[in-house]
Amino acid sequence: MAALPMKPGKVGVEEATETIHRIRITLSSKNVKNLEKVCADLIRGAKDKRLKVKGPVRMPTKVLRVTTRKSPCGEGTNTWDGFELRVHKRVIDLHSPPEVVKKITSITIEPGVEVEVTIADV
Amino acid sequence: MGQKINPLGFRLGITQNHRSYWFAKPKKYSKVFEEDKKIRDCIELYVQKHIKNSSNYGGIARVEIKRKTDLIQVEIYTGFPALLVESRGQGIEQLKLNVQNILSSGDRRLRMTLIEIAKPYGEPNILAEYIALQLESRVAFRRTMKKAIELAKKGNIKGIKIQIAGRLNGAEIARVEWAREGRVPLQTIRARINYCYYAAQTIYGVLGIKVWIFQDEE
Repeated sequence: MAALPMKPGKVGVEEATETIHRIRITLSSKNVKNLEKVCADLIRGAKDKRLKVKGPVRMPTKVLRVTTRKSPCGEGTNTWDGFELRVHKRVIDLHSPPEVVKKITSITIEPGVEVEVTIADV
Repeated sequence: MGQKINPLGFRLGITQNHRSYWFAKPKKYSKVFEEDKKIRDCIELYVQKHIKNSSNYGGIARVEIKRKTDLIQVEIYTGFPALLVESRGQGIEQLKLNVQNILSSGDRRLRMTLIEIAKPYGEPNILAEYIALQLESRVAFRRTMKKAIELAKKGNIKGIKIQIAGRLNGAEIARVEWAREGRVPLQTIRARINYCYYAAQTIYGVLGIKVWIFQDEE
């Protein structure tokens, strides 16, 4: 049938709705071990689905410092407490339809790791 | 002479876990923190209203809160779970409802679990509550301390120290008394030491109770 305009192998009833988006996943946490674990899980999950993955880019650690006097009054040698909160951040880029990403991220979540997904245009 | 740092805070990276385990960006940190406090207050209030009376104490050792993206996990470690589970099959439904009402946005699921502790008197919180109850019923404090140490020794602990401060036995002049059994190495970071401070309200004023329990090394 020479009049078939369709491409071979594609039954065109539904157009493929899966446009590939560029997705950026940002993981932040106070705890490096959990963070690295979630990173490794995400990348492994993405590689299983044959997506193009740009590996974990490690952003510089932000150290939030609060330095306070130890004393409740002003008396005594001036001793100071230096409290810190270290925020570690990793960025993973994927090229994939967003539904697949939702599935991957919902599997690997640990407490204490914040996952942010932004889509495309970056 | 120096003063002692809280042994829980001292060991936070090693041998001691955080009781609230979550991450929030600096903008939302204070809100999440406030929510945590509200959850703990709600649980404390519930225990006070329903369970505590002159012969019973709450029996909650600690409350751990873990947050994932859309799930809040509250684990209540208690020595006497039967006290919190009131009627058959209802479990902690009432408590869960109370906490859910407090949480502002309802798009997060709440999961509350009760975890039973094997030897309740090995936890300083429960022991301190027991001591407070005795002191408020005007039992002699030295006897209370000895009895508390006896109770704690039934579990496998390596050392315990109890300190009570204030108007002991109703005396006019306040003083500090402490009793120790075994060893409690506060300077050793790899020693797992659990600590609690509890205030007992008596008719003479407030008695501060501090309990240190040395569980094991590492």
